[in-house]
Amino acid sequence: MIVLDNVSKNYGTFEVLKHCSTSVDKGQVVVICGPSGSGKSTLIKCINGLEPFDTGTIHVGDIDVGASSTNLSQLRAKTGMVFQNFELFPHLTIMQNLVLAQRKVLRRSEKESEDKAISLLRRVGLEDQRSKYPGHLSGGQQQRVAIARALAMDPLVMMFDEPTSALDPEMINEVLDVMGELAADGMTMLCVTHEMGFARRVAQKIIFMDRGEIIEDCTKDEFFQADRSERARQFLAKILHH
Amino acid sequence: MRLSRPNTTAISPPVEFQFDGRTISALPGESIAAALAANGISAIRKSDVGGDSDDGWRGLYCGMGTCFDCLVTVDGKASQRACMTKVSGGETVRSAAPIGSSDDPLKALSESSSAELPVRACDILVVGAGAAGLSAALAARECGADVIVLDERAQPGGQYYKPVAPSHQVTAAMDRQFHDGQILARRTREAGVEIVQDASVWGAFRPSEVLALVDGTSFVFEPKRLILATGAFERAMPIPGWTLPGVMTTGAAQTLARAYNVSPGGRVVVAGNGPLNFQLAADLVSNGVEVAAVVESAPRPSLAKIRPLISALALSPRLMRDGIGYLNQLRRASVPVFWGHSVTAAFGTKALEKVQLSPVDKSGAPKAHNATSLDADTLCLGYGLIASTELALALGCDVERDPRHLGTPKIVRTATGETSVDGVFAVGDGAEVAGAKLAEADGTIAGYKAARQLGFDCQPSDGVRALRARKRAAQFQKSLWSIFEPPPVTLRHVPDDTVLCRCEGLTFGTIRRDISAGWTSPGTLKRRTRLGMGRCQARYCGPVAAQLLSEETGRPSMGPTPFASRLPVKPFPATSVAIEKPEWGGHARAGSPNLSLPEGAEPFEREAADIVIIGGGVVGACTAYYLADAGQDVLLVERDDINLQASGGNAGSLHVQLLSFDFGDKAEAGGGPAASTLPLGPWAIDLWHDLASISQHDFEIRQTGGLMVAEDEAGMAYLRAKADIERSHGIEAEILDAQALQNMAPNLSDHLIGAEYCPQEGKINPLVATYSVFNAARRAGTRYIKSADVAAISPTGSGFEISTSRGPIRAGKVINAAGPWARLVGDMVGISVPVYSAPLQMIVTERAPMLIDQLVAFADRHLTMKQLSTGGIVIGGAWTAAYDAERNLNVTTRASIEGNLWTARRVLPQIDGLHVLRSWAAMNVNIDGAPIVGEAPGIPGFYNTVTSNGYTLAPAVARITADLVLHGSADRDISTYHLDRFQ
Repeated sequence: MIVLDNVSKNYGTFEVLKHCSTSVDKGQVVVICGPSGSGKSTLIKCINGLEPFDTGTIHVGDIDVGASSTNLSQLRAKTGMVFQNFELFPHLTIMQNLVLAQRKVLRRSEKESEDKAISLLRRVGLEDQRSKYPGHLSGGQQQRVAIARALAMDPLVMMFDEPTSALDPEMINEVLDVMGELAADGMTMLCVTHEMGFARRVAQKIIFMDRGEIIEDCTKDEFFQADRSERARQFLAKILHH
Repeated sequence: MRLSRPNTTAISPPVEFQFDGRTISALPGESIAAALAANGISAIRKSDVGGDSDDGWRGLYCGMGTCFDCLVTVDGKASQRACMTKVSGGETVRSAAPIGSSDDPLKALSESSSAELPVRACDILVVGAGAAGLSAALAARECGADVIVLDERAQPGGQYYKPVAPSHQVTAAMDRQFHDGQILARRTREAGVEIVQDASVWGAFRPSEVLALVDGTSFVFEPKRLILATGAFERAMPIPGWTLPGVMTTGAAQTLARAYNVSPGGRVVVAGNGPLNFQLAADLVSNGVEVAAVVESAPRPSLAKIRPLISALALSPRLMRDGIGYLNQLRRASVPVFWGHSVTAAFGTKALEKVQLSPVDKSGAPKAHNATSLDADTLCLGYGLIASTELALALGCDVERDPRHLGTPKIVRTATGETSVDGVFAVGDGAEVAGAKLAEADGTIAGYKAARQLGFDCQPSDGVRALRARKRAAQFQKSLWSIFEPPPVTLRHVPDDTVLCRCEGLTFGTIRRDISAGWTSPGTLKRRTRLGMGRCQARYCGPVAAQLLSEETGRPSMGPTPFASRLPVKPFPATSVAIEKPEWGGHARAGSPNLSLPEGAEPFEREAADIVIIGGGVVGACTAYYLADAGQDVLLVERDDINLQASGGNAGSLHVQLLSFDFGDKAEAGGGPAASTLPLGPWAIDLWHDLASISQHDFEIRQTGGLMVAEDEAGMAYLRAKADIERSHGIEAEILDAQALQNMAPNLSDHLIGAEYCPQEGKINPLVATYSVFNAARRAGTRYIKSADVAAISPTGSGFEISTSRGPIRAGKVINAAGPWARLVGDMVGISVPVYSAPLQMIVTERAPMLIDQLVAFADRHLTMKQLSTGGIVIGGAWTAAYDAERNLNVTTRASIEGNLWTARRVLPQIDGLHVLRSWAAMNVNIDGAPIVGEAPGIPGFYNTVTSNGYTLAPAVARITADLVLHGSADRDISTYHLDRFQ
């Protein structure tokens, strides 16, 4: 479904991604972890065309991401993205936030967009909040709205860029629960996260990155049990005892 | 007063900071200026150049970081813009600058950088995240280009979309303008454009070398294409009292009200021209602010305007509906609208108290007898916008003058936004003021074009839509201007005591006096008065000065801004680019380009004089004085005007000791010629004193002594050897140890281990001295012809026939005082005068407390440094600049700025606390180290008089030349200065 082949990217002389290759199957849940600055976020931003890369190829389904003929807005419509900071429009109601892109990008009718929005809000448990403005919701609730908004575009894959790191601790679980349900429903997911508990529970595959390189690319069981690279061991020790 | 809007709430509870000892309650994330306004404080800064208020108080004026009038000291850091600096709580803010003592030191403004500046490469760099910039970035990114946007504000959106300040969050529905801005910013970010906020772009040396300060660090951006979307700022409309705290631009008031939810004042008059003023007034009224009046210089729209009204209504019914809504709101609140009026004066002692307005007649003249007076604490002036073209000018893009209103700049562009410089695009109001809708379309079109130029494949559909939108927007804008067409604007009625230049505190009277005295070239006005030398880089005074010059002289206006572009376009902390660079690259000779910008002048039939001096620099002026004073018939011919090149660009050191490039193994011709000039120095300084007393002018000569410092034993050995040579020529030179140096100049770095001290050295102001000597020469009978370029000189037996661009001149004797161009004049009579021109760089900092009294140089390094009487520190030392043939202008280079600032802070650490205001480059006269004086061999009656290495020796070589002309001999040995030494 997603195939990365030998992807590299530089900021001037600084290499952010070094020869990254991996693949994600349909329905697979992949957790990408690693120390901060290791290139995790850059990697998923390259996959949905948010950031250009210098060499290598990325395919999402049959779309060649790096090709100059690729329509980036079409690509992004197929790859739902959930950011750290929710990115909801503050001056629009929850409902309006969910309807806007469906209307503008997918040209859906108002009725269709609203029906879709309501069913997704129900799915993330926020149907009763639909007339409120984001400023009146908790961070956890806002992030659940952001997930619903991404799902409204019927993406082929959902990508999460540290979706819980801006949240107060008591709100993290409500977001992880929604993500877990999504995985259980068979959604293809790429999650950049430090939540190792979530990784253990939900992920099928773990990618561990450090200094722009993919150090580990293995199943969850291999990652948490078998002998891992020294760098991954150090990282896990730090994360788990924090 | 804080406005309560139902759709926004403060993010955090209030915090406190100190302002001049008062505790101020503020919301975290709001600007210092907004917090002060919320607390009813309009007087923010005590200016050192005075103004309309007692004690020189100034307030918020532009409100957007371009006028530099609201500067405050924040936690010891000097010159922070109150309108751009965010409060987080606990700050100590002061209206005055630090005094530089150990109790109140200048605090470092940024970290020093040891290595090279960090570099970011990208496909496309966009400067400005307003409507145009975001649209351009989005379009280019959609094509696949790697795009970075630099924006000076905390959030994207610019002046039109005006996002809510970081102190507030939106919690309910907002208006259309806000919505559109949010959508555009979001789309741009989600497309993968990197938007860097709080980034102050301070210069561009090339399209692929753009410098920006981000978080205290200067970055170099290296894009393949550069898109300038710098927006616009409000035109200055000087009236008496316009520097009073409480007088601000409409934009500043709108930012306070819309972004910060703060009322600009308690009782507000909104005045100017155009719909923005009505929008502001309506917004204030609807939030419970008392608006005393709206003053509009255009007459009330009547049936005569029916055509543009209908057209505007058809093109943008929504905007027209908004406009009518504003008027209704004002009527309901009983706010009087004075159509066909303008504000003629503002009064107050410490801050604004009263506003005077008058009807204007068809010629633009106020009818003073019908004046009305209104009490107000706030006056908002909105007379239209001026495109921010500084970066385009710095890169050499062609900019024209659009005669509308007082004349507005307009960047010359193709339909797809390409400027005259390869790789540089300009879009939106920063290229040509035409409103946000047009800006967006403009940006989209240029974004596609730039990406296509880099080989990206773009879908043209949006481009076609954008072209259509642009056409529509342009028609709407035209209709709007027609509806709000004001009477012609004239400066005739502005009284002499009105401030013209806010930064330097110059009045119309000062400038008018100079113009009527014949100083009619902008470069001369700048040098003589400091007009345009302030922090705002002539953004505000430039267009007014251009118009004033045109009105006073009857000539067409010189252009959108009359002054040469000089980096930085915004001040930057000196330390952020101070990096050690290799020295002693030698002088980069630039050929001898003709840099003059002569004013149009009538041809003459014939002139004649016994003695014709070619060149109106300091040497020509001094020579003319000495000869005319001795009763000679003297004519001075200049292709441009007095003091404009090497003389006026000089830093004004009075050197006696040898500089680092005059002594040792790097000196020209082994240093012998330079050493032979040593006896001239003290004599020249005596002559300067004489000239000052004769002309009865203060040349600002200060013989404070000169120090050449050393930081290691090798440097001390160099100084000792140099002092020996100098003493042998009769120069007073003393070697100081570290302690003696500290006692003499306590602010110099304590790592210095000693210095050579020469008590005879000092400084002079070349912007005063040349003109005063010239005036003395005129009084003594010298005739002067300006704007006459000498093209040929032929000996006639009894004298010379000189042909100039204005007409022929017969001369008995000719004196070649053409400075860096003396070689070309020599060529005209067939002799070789080996004078070369080499552009050198100078830097000046903002005004500082008194830090150094002496002239300071650095042993075996490139540095000269001195503090001017105005407080600015001039930093030079023969760092190479470059000649830009395309623009016919000497320009500074980044490497030289970096290296020069490094040497400066190495010697004077308090440089760390100062901003660099300007760098400039002037042609230096480059000979072998000694002057060339005397009659040319084989050409009786033709004299050369060219000095080397600066300003100091001018009266000495002039005196020698005068003696040679008058008596055939000089009373000193000049054999080493003669031309035949080169044979």
